[in-house]
This record gives sequence, structure tokens and C-alpha cells, in this order.
Amino acid sequence: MNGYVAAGYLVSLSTLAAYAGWVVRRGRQLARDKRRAEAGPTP
Amino acid sequence: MKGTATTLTRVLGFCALVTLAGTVVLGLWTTPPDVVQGELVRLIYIHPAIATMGEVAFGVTALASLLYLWRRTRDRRWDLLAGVSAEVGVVFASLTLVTGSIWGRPTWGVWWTWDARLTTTALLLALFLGYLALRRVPGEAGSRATRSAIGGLVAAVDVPIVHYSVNWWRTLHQGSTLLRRKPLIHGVQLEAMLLGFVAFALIYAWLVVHRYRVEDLATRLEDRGFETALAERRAEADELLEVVS
Repeated sequence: MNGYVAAGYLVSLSTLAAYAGWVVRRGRQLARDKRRAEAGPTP
Repeated sequence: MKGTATTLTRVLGFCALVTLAGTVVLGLWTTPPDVVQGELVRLIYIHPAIATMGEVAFGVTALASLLYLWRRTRDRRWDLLAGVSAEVGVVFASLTLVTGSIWGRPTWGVWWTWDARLTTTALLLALFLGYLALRRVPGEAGSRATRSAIGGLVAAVDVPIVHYSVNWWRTLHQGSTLLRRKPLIHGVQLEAMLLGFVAFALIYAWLVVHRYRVEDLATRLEDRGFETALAERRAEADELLEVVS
């Protein structure tokens, strides 16, 4: 496979995957924080 | 709900992955090398689709900004949508420049040239990076949203300039492949390119929906003072741990 072609696909797909992963993780973190905050202080 | 996913986004994500996998298989293995471009034509199955999604994303930012500025439709949700679409657009615009540069090096012999299409695309990226920075400038929520909406509309003026740059100026960058009376691409090559457009459109939609929910959640947490409550709870927990140890 042509090196330029491979680099183009690799950069595009890995960047989008990394960004999507960050968005999902941030969503989970915020949802967890919301649940904790709604639960109130621990005894 | 564990995060920001719902059944709808899971289906959307699955469709995005399937169409993307199809684009990669068609683009890298099934389609033949081009008579003129050789193996490099394989980048054409993703580069125009990525570039188009960048333009769509900034167009959505402009539309949402306009709807926020118009008194009858003013709503915090339009401001949120404008912001998240711009962020996703910046990712697509960056990838447009990178994949274009990777294609340009073996084709034109240079990584970069001050061609009208390339220059206006770089300017578009810079404008929307500035827009994202403007959104982070502290201020009262209403005035911050208003100035962001104005900034988004000003930045989006470059979108049609980028799109029509290949028609308005004599450029090194090739003209439109599909949007012409006789498309320059046919058969399985055309199918791969169209599938690429579908795949990246679905990826854009998935990213915007998730990113919108994340931003909405963050804003609501902030509004209700949950962040402060959490910090207080963490401080209490730390004190308790110190006492125990």
C-alpha cells in the first residue's frame, strides 16, 4: 500500500477515534459526578 | 444512563462504523488505481468528505448563531449547538488540511502552497479556533452567547469563499469532482466516494449529538452549583481520611 495513502487514512481515523473517545469519557465522568452530587454527602 | 449514549446514538454510531468500514475496504482494496493519480486516488475517497463535513459543521454554527441572535428563537440550546458544531468542525477542518497536504506532497511536490483553496481553508480553521477561544472568555452567560453568535457569523463568511474558491480563482487545487454536469468519477470509485460522504456525515452527527449532551450536562452541573458541592464533599472525604489515618 502507498505510504501517503496509509498515512492519510491512519491520521484521519485515529484522530476521529481519539476525539470520540474523549467525548464519551467526558460524558461518563460528568454523568458520574451528577449522580454523586445528587446522592448528597456521605455519612 | 452511564454516560451520554442512548439507543438512538448507539444505532447512529453503529451505522457510522459500518459505513466507515465499507469506505475503507472500498477505498483501500476494492477500487482500482486511477489512470492519472495512481494509488493516491484512494485519498479522494475520504478527503472531500472530511472537507465537506467541516463546511457543514461551520454552516450549522452560523445557522444556530443566527437563531440565537433572532429574538423570537433565542434559546440557550442554539448557543450550545453553535459551540459544539464549531468544535467538531475544527477537527474536520484540521484533518482536511492534513489529508490534503499528504495528497499534495507526492502530487504537487510540496506539502503546502499558497493556493486559494488551501489558504482560505487555513484561514477558516484559524477563524474558528478564534471563535472557540472567544467562547471561553469569561462573562455573563447572555452577553457571552451573543458575542459568540456574532463571532460565529463573522467567521462563517469564509465558508462560501472556501467552497467557491476553485471557481473564483485560478487554483492548483482541482475543481469539484461530483458537483458538475458530468462527474469526473464513475462506477465503484463513485460508490466509494459517496459511501465516504455518508460515513463522515454520520460521524459528524454522532459527534455533535454526544458533544452537545456533554456540554449541556456540564452547563447544568455548573448552573446548579454541583461542582461546588462536589468539591466540598471531596474536601470532607480528605479530612475524614486524614483523621482515620
